[in-house]
Amino acid sequence: MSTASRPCETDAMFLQTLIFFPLLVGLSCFFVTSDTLRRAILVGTAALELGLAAYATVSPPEPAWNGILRLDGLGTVVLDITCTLFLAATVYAVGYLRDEKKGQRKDFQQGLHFTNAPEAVFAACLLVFLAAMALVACSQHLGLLWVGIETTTLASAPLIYFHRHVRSLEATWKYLIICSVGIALALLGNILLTAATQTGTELYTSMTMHALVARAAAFHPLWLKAAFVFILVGYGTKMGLAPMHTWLPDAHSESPSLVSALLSGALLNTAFLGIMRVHRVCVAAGLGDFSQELLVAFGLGSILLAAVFIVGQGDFKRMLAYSSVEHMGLLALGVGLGGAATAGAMLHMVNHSVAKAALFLLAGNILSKYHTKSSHDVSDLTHTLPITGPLWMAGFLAIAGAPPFGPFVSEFAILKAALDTGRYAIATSIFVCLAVIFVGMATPVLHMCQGRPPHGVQATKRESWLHVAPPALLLLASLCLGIYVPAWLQTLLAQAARLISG
Amino acid sequence: MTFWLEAALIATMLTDLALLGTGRIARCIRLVCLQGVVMGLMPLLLAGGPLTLHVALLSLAFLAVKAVALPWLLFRSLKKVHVRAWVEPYISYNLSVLAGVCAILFALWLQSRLLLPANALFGVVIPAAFTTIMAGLIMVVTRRKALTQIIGYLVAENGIYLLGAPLAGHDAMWLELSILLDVFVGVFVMGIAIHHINRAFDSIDVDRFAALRD
Repeated sequence: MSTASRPCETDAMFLQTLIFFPLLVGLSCFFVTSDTLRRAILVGTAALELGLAAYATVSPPEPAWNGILRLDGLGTVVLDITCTLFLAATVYAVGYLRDEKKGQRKDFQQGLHFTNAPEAVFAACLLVFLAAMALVACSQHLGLLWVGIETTTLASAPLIYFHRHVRSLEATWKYLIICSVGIALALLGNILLTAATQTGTELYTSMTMHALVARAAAFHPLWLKAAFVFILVGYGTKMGLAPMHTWLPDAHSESPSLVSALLSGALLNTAFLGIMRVHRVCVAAGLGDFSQELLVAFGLGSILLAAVFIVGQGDFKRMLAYSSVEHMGLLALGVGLGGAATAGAMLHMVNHSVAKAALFLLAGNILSKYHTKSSHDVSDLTHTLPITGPLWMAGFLAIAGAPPFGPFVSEFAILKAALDTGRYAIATSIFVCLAVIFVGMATPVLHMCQGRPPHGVQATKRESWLHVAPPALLLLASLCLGIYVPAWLQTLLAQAARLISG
Repeated sequence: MTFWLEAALIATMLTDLALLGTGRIARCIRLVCLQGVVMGLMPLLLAGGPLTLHVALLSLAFLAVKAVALPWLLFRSLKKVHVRAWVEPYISYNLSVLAGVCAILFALWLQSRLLLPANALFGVVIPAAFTTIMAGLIMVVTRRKALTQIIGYLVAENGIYLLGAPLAGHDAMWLELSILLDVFVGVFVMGIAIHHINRAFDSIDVDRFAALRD
């Protein structure tokens, strides 16, 4: 009897562990004075969290807190991506923090002096950020989901301001204000959703997904529509959908590269998850067409805007940021088209995160070698940084949707679904935009890789494995995903797609 | 109870207009504090019936954060930055107040047009809630100083809270408190950011932010 109930008890604590473990370790990081120890704790926690996430993928844990915390297919995909990228980012962080010079130094862009934020604060915020993203992935309660997403904003703002100069301060302020107001609108959406549930004699419905989907058919359609619009605009701000994306290029270009990798690869997905949850409620209420049309509109708008801003973009980190806007647009569009495109969008979420995180980490290597973010001033990359250079080229091919990398397969799936359902105008406009973006990104990337080295930049003979192994492994994963998607991931993605379209 | 509730809602709308027309930042913070008191009393006013421990605790928590802690944080930021303590909006005060009046008219129109859900109190709070949300957003958009943007965010959040107050389920106290905690930490982090902005620029005017654009 006792042996039978034991695993059940440990299982019941599993989800709480997933959330509170990084949170508590993060808070205790403030009291660790040794840099080496703190970095070891950071990587160790990331590895353990990934282990927990992998275990949860294999054997789904019991729901906790009366079903408020439960890991379903969609949450598992987001959690797995987040933990994988987090481990890659923390390994990279060890090398990054080691090479950061202490004390005041000169900013290469404006020539002003600046310092770094204390490393303890940086490590603590990283771990709290991870805990908040795990909370979002596990949350089945829309209110708790909101709390999680707002917490990710607050935990990541100090990360953007790691280099304490005026540009990162500007980016942090814009991020804080735009995302806080955006997420406040999502809270308003949640309240309107509660109002939509109050029909007939039923005055109170729990905000858990299970209860909402079960009763959705009886909801007030007008209030539900209003709720979806506010939540789409609110979380869409965080996700970087145009025209609410304005914080995104600033924050991604000014934060340390490993933070940009996490923002783009992990954080944007959590906001997308929030939109998907409410979309699911709309589908259950028979308003799927309404929410899908809106998703298609915002998706197409984001892809178009990205195409306009990527062409001629001189700053390579901003270029990557606009590429994130494009890919978030593709995700929204995929779900908006429904059917096979939803499955394609799920796969694309994985592919984009893996490839984009690798690219941001590589961008960090380039930035620390050339001391510039302008793609015009970087040249001869393949010789100057013998590993980063070729990887940067490969990463560009991956993110631009060239075979045999993963994003090609998922973009192809979305396009094919659009054509199969007879949405020719949409398919054509995606195709044109993707082609424009390919050319727009190819020009600076090729320029960076070729040519003669700029004056005063010496070739690095051996790059530290801490700087190149994480992006290399991520790109390898992207390559593998393009050739073969393992069966367990396929099952998981199919489960996630079913959870979205009902 | 209805009389007190309606008085509180009217007081909320009046503080919105006063906030839009006030030039001194310190007075704005006092008005936010006043609005916080009204928000803190909301659970008591909306409860109807005998006072329960749940309602009393909730009310106490909201009073502590919205009427005491948040204004205190804002005053502390204001003292630290030593700025000229004027709002300096992009549009005139008259225009701001006029926008507030339009917001009230819009909110009343909205209330008359909407098919209201089963909860009757929800319909009662709609005008005050939407006016407050819009007044907050107007302040975020038209104010030049970083500190007044935070005040605008807080006012908008008050409005959202007011709209949600009659809908809150009785077993969801943990949710309301965690949202409150998030807002508090949010303002705390923004306060730290303002401190850094003031050190870097010798000013908290957000127009100084012009380095990042395409």
